[in-house]
Amino acid sequence: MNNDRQTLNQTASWKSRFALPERAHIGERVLVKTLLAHPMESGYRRDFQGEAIPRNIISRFECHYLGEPVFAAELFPAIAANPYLSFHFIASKTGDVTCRWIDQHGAFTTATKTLKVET
Amino acid sequence: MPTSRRSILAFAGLSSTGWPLLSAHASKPEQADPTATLAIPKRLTTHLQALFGDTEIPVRNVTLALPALAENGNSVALGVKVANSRSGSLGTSSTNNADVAPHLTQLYLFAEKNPLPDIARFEFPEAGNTHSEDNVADINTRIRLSDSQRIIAIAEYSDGALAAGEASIVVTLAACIDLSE
Repeated sequence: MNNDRQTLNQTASWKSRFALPERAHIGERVLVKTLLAHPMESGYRRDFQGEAIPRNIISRFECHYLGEPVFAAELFPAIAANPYLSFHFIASKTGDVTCRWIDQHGAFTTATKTLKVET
Repeated sequence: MPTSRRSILAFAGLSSTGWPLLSAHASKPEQADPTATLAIPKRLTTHLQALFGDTEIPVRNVTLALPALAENGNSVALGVKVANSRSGSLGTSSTNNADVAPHLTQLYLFAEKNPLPDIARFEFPEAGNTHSEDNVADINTRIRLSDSQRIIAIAEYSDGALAAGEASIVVTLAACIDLSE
Protein backbone atom coordinates (compact mmCIF):
# COMPACT_ATOMS: atom_id res chain seq x y z
CA MET A 1 0.00 0.00 0.00
CA ASN A 2 1.43 3.41 -0.87
CA ASN A 3 1.83 6.12 1.70
CA ASP A 4 -1.26 8.08 0.70
CA ARG A 5 -3.49 5.12 1.30
CA GLN A 6 -1.76 4.48 4.56
CA THR A 7 -2.65 7.91 5.89
CA LEU A 8 -6.23 7.82 4.63
CA ASN A 9 -7.06 4.31 5.65
CA GLN A 10 -5.26 3.75 8.89
CA THR A 11 -7.97 2.87 11.34
CA ALA A 12 -7.19 3.46 14.96
CA SER A 13 -10.58 2.28 16.14
CA TRP A 14 -9.88 -1.43 15.96
CA LYS A 15 -8.23 -2.53 19.15
CA SER A 16 -5.68 -5.21 18.51
CA ARG A 17 -3.66 -7.36 20.79
CA PHE A 18 -0.92 -9.79 20.06
CA ALA A 19 1.17 -11.94 22.32
CA LEU A 20 4.73 -12.93 21.62
CA PRO A 21 7.26 -14.43 23.99
CA GLU A 22 9.71 -11.81 25.28
CA ARG A 23 12.73 -13.74 24.18
CA ALA A 24 13.54 -16.82 22.14
CA HIS A 25 16.54 -18.90 21.15
CA ILE A 26 17.78 -19.09 17.59
CA GLY A 27 15.78 -21.67 15.70
CA GLU A 28 13.02 -21.78 18.30
CA ARG A 29 9.42 -21.98 17.16
CA VAL A 30 7.77 -18.85 18.47
CA LEU A 31 4.02 -18.83 19.16
CA VAL A 32 2.16 -15.68 18.16
CA LYS A 33 -1.39 -15.17 19.38
CA THR A 34 -3.39 -12.35 17.83
CA LEU A 35 -6.76 -10.84 18.57
CA LEU A 36 -8.64 -7.95 17.02
CA ALA A 37 -11.83 -6.29 18.23
CA HIS A 38 -13.94 -6.34 15.07
CA PRO A 39 -17.55 -7.41 14.44
CA MET A 40 -16.74 -9.49 11.32
CA GLU A 41 -20.23 -8.80 10.05
CA SER A 42 -20.96 -11.76 7.81
CA GLY A 43 -23.47 -10.03 5.56
CA TYR A 44 -26.03 -12.72 6.28
CA ARG A 45 -27.70 -11.15 9.30
CA ARG A 46 -30.82 -9.03 9.00
CA ASP A 47 -31.77 -6.00 11.05
CA PHE A 48 -35.16 -5.32 12.59
CA GLN A 49 -36.49 -3.86 9.33
CA GLY A 50 -35.55 -7.06 7.52
CA GLU A 51 -32.71 -5.41 5.60
CA ALA A 52 -29.49 -7.36 5.31
CA ILE A 53 -26.68 -5.90 7.40
CA PRO A 54 -23.86 -5.44 4.88
CA ARG A 55 -20.76 -7.60 5.06
CA ASN A 56 -17.92 -5.94 6.90
CA ILE A 57 -15.03 -8.24 7.59
CA ILE A 58 -11.30 -8.30 8.01
CA SER A 59 -10.31 -10.01 4.80
CA ARG A 60 -6.56 -10.30 5.27
CA PHE A 61 -4.08 -10.75 8.06
CA GLU A 62 -0.31 -10.53 7.65
CA CYS A 63 2.59 -11.00 9.99
CA HIS A 64 6.07 -9.76 9.12
CA TYR A 65 9.27 -10.57 10.96
CA LEU A 66 12.48 -8.71 10.07
CA GLY A 67 10.62 -7.20 7.13
CA GLU A 68 9.72 -10.55 5.60
CA PRO A 69 6.24 -12.08 5.64
CA VAL A 70 6.17 -15.15 7.89
CA PHE A 71 2.45 -15.80 7.92
CA ALA A 72 -0.60 -14.51 6.11
CA ALA A 73 -4.25 -15.37 6.03
CA GLU A 74 -7.15 -14.58 3.75
CA LEU A 75 -10.24 -14.50 5.95
CA PHE A 76 -13.89 -15.03 5.06
CA PRO A 77 -17.19 -14.37 6.88
CA ALA A 78 -16.91 -17.78 8.55
CA ILE A 79 -14.23 -16.43 10.86
CA ALA A 80 -15.96 -15.48 14.11
CA ALA A 81 -16.28 -11.92 15.40
CA ASN A 82 -13.22 -10.57 17.22
CA PRO A 83 -10.96 -12.72 15.08
CA TYR A 84 -8.45 -14.82 16.96
CA LEU A 85 -5.52 -16.29 15.08
CA SER A 86 -2.47 -18.07 16.42
CA PHE A 87 0.48 -19.41 14.48
CA HIS A 88 4.24 -19.99 14.71
CA PHE A 89 7.40 -18.84 13.04
CA ILE A 90 11.08 -19.65 13.56
CA ALA A 91 13.16 -17.06 15.41
CA SER A 92 16.47 -16.14 13.81
CA LYS A 93 17.60 -12.76 15.18
CA THR A 94 16.32 -9.91 17.30
CA GLY A 95 13.88 -7.80 15.40
CA ASP A 96 10.39 -6.46 14.98
CA VAL A 97 7.33 -8.57 14.52
CA THR A 98 4.51 -6.64 12.84
CA CYS A 99 0.92 -7.80 12.59
CA ARG A 100 -1.44 -6.14 10.15
CA TRP A 101 -5.18 -6.59 9.77
CA ILE A 102 -6.75 -5.33 6.54
CA ASP A 103 -10.48 -5.12 5.97
CA GLN A 104 -12.43 -5.61 2.77
CA HIS A 105 -12.30 -1.88 2.00
CA GLY A 106 -8.53 -1.66 2.39
CA ALA A 107 -8.50 0.01 5.80
CA PHE A 108 -5.91 -1.52 8.06
CA THR A 109 -4.37 -1.45 11.46
CA THR A 110 -0.88 -2.49 12.49
CA ALA A 111 0.76 -3.54 15.72
CA THR A 112 4.47 -4.12 16.28
CA LYS A 113 6.49 -5.81 18.99
CA THR A 114 10.15 -6.64 19.30
CA LEU A 115 11.35 -10.19 19.70
CA LYS A 116 14.69 -10.63 21.45
CA VAL A 117 16.56 -13.58 20.12
CA GLU A 118 19.54 -14.96 21.98
CA THR A 119 21.83 -17.86 21.22
CA MET B 1 -39.81 -51.45 29.62
CA PRO B 2 -39.39 -47.81 28.63
CA THR B 3 -42.34 -45.75 29.71
CA SER B 4 -41.50 -42.06 29.75
CA ARG B 5 -41.25 -40.26 26.40
CA ARG B 6 -37.57 -39.56 26.86
CA SER B 7 -36.74 -43.17 27.58
CA ILE B 8 -38.74 -44.32 24.56
CA LEU B 9 -36.85 -41.90 22.33
CA ALA B 10 -33.50 -42.92 23.81
CA PHE B 11 -34.45 -46.53 23.33
CA ALA B 12 -35.18 -45.86 19.69
CA GLY B 13 -31.84 -44.08 19.37
CA LEU B 14 -33.50 -40.85 18.28
CA SER B 15 -32.92 -38.78 21.38
CA SER B 16 -30.78 -35.71 20.78
CA THR B 17 -28.71 -36.56 23.83
CA GLY B 18 -27.46 -39.65 22.04
CA TRP B 19 -26.23 -38.11 18.78
CA PRO B 20 -23.22 -36.08 19.94
CA LEU B 21 -21.63 -39.19 21.36
CA LEU B 22 -21.89 -40.90 18.03
CA SER B 23 -20.56 -38.14 15.84
CA ALA B 24 -16.90 -38.06 14.95
CA HIS B 25 -14.63 -35.43 16.42
CA ALA B 26 -10.99 -34.68 15.67
CA SER B 27 -9.60 -36.70 12.81
CA LYS B 28 -7.22 -39.49 13.79
CA PRO B 29 -4.59 -39.86 11.08
CA GLU B 30 -2.70 -42.64 12.79
CA GLN B 31 -5.71 -44.91 12.47
CA ALA B 32 -6.65 -43.70 9.00
CA ASP B 33 -6.13 -45.83 5.97
CA PRO B 34 -3.02 -44.39 4.27
CA THR B 35 -4.57 -44.66 0.86
CA ALA B 36 -7.84 -42.97 1.82
CA THR B 37 -8.90 -40.03 -0.28
CA LEU B 38 -11.13 -37.18 0.73
CA ALA B 39 -14.83 -37.75 0.19
CA ILE B 40 -15.81 -34.35 -1.16
CA PRO B 41 -19.30 -33.28 -0.08
CA LYS B 42 -21.66 -32.47 -2.96
CA ARG B 43 -21.93 -28.83 -1.93
CA LEU B 44 -18.19 -28.35 -2.31
CA THR B 45 -17.56 -30.26 -5.53
CA THR B 46 -17.55 -27.32 -7.97
CA HIS B 47 -15.80 -25.08 -5.50
CA LEU B 48 -12.95 -27.50 -4.87
CA GLN B 49 -12.73 -28.41 -8.53
CA ALA B 50 -12.21 -24.74 -9.39
CA LEU B 51 -9.41 -24.51 -6.83
CA PHE B 52 -7.66 -27.84 -7.16
CA GLY B 53 -8.86 -29.42 -10.37
CA ASP B 54 -10.14 -32.95 -10.53
CA THR B 55 -7.47 -34.64 -8.42
CA GLU B 56 -8.21 -36.98 -5.59
CA ILE B 57 -6.88 -35.58 -2.35
CA PRO B 58 -5.32 -38.05 0.10
CA VAL B 59 -6.35 -37.83 3.72
CA ARG B 60 -3.03 -37.50 5.54
CA ASN B 61 -0.80 -35.09 7.47
CA VAL B 62 -3.65 -32.82 8.51
CA THR B 63 -5.22 -33.03 11.97
CA LEU B 64 -8.16 -30.95 13.07
CA ALA B 65 -9.05 -30.20 16.68
CA LEU B 66 -12.72 -29.34 16.81
CA PRO B 67 -15.20 -29.99 19.61
CA ALA B 68 -17.71 -32.73 18.88
CA LEU B 69 -20.52 -30.44 19.94
CA ALA B 70 -20.82 -26.65 19.85
CA GLU B 71 -23.45 -24.96 21.97
CA ASN B 72 -23.28 -21.81 19.90
CA GLY B 73 -22.26 -21.72 16.25
CA ASN B 74 -21.14 -18.09 16.47
CA SER B 75 -17.73 -18.88 17.88
CA VAL B 76 -16.23 -22.34 17.70
CA ALA B 77 -12.56 -22.95 18.44
CA LEU B 78 -10.76 -24.75 15.64
CA GLY B 79 -7.18 -25.94 15.58
CA VAL B 80 -5.33 -27.41 12.60
CA LYS B 81 -1.95 -29.09 12.62
CA VAL B 82 -0.22 -29.87 9.35
CA ALA B 83 2.96 -31.86 8.97
CA ASN B 84 5.64 -30.51 6.72
CA SER B 85 6.66 -33.72 5.20
CA ARG B 86 9.20 -35.34 2.99
CA SER B 87 7.09 -38.37 2.37
CA GLY B 88 3.78 -36.54 2.69
CA SER B 89 3.70 -35.55 -0.93
CA LEU B 90 2.44 -38.16 -3.29
CA GLY B 91 5.11 -40.36 -4.76
CA THR B 92 8.21 -38.38 -3.78
CA SER B 93 11.18 -40.57 -3.05
CA SER B 94 12.44 -40.92 0.49
CA THR B 95 15.93 -39.95 -0.60
CA ASN B 96 14.96 -36.30 -0.92
CA ASN B 97 17.17 -34.16 1.28
CA ALA B 98 15.69 -31.43 3.44
CA ASP B 99 16.51 -28.68 0.98
CA VAL B 100 14.25 -29.98 -1.72
CA ALA B 101 11.66 -31.66 0.49
CA PRO B 102 8.27 -30.27 -0.28
CA HIS B 103 7.11 -27.89 2.44
CA LEU B 104 3.70 -26.58 3.30
CA THR B 105 2.77 -23.46 1.39
CA GLN B 106 -0.96 -22.98 1.90
CA LEU B 107 -3.76 -24.34 4.03
CA TYR B 108 -7.41 -24.02 3.01
CA LEU B 109 -10.33 -24.45 5.39
CA PHE B 110 -13.89 -25.15 4.28
CA ALA B 111 -17.21 -25.50 6.07
CA GLU B 112 -19.37 -27.88 4.13
CA LYS B 113 -22.76 -26.31 4.90
CA ASN B 114 -22.08 -22.64 5.57
CA PRO B 115 -23.66 -20.21 3.07
CA LEU B 116 -20.15 -19.47 1.84
CA PRO B 117 -18.02 -22.59 2.31
CA ASP B 118 -14.64 -20.82 2.57
CA ILE B 119 -13.41 -20.24 6.09
CA ALA B 120 -9.84 -19.10 5.55
CA ARG B 121 -6.73 -19.62 3.48
CA PHE B 122 -3.43 -19.51 5.34
CA GLU B 123 -0.12 -18.81 3.63
CA PHE B 124 3.22 -20.05 4.90
CA PRO B 125 5.98 -18.08 3.18
CA GLU B 126 9.48 -19.52 3.16
CA ALA B 127 10.94 -16.85 5.43
CA GLY B 128 10.51 -17.76 9.07
CA ASN B 129 9.49 -21.33 8.41
CA THR B 130 11.94 -24.19 8.25
CA HIS B 131 11.68 -27.14 5.97
CA SER B 132 12.67 -29.66 8.61
CA GLU B 133 10.82 -32.89 8.67
CA ASP B 134 9.27 -32.43 12.07
CA ASN B 135 8.12 -28.90 11.51
CA VAL B 136 4.40 -28.76 11.98
CA ALA B 137 2.20 -25.81 11.16
CA ASP B 138 -0.14 -25.24 14.08
CA ILE B 139 -2.97 -22.79 13.58
CA ASN B 140 -5.79 -21.88 15.92
CA THR B 141 -8.78 -19.71 15.22
CA ARG B 142 -12.48 -19.34 15.96
CA ILE B 143 -15.11 -19.95 13.31
CA ARG B 144 -18.79 -19.43 12.72
CA LEU B 145 -20.98 -22.36 11.75
CA SER B 146 -24.49 -22.32 10.41
CA ASP B 147 -25.24 -25.99 10.85
CA SER B 148 -23.89 -29.31 12.02
CA GLN B 149 -21.41 -30.24 9.32
CA ARG B 150 -17.93 -31.34 8.30
CA ILE B 151 -14.99 -29.00 8.36
CA ILE B 152 -12.44 -29.82 5.69
CA ALA B 153 -8.84 -28.68 5.64
CA ILE B 154 -6.70 -29.01 2.52
CA ALA B 155 -2.97 -28.44 2.66
CA GLU B 156 -0.98 -27.53 -0.40
CA TYR B 157 2.76 -28.16 -0.61
CA SER B 158 5.49 -26.44 -2.58
CA ASP B 159 5.48 -29.15 -5.23
CA GLY B 160 1.74 -28.82 -5.75
CA ALA B 161 0.82 -31.94 -3.79
CA LEU B 162 -2.29 -31.84 -1.62
CA ALA B 163 -3.25 -33.41 1.69
CA ALA B 164 -6.56 -33.23 3.49
CA GLY B 165 -8.11 -33.72 6.89
CA GLU B 166 -11.60 -33.32 8.17
CA ALA B 167 -13.68 -33.31 11.32
CA SER B 168 -17.40 -33.28 12.01
CA ILE B 169 -19.23 -31.12 14.48
CA VAL B 170 -22.77 -30.91 15.82
CA VAL B 171 -23.94 -27.33 16.26
CA THR B 172 -26.77 -26.75 18.70
CA LEU B 173 -27.50 -23.10 17.95
CA ALA B 174 -26.59 -22.03 14.43
CA ALA B 175 -24.92 -18.69 13.75
CA CYS B 176 -27.36 -16.20 12.22
CA ILE B 177 -27.76 -16.77 8.51
CA ASP B 178 -30.04 -15.65 5.72
CA LEU B 179 -33.22 -17.72 5.95
CA SER B 180 -33.45 -18.11 2.20
CA GLU B 181 -30.36 -20.36 2.15
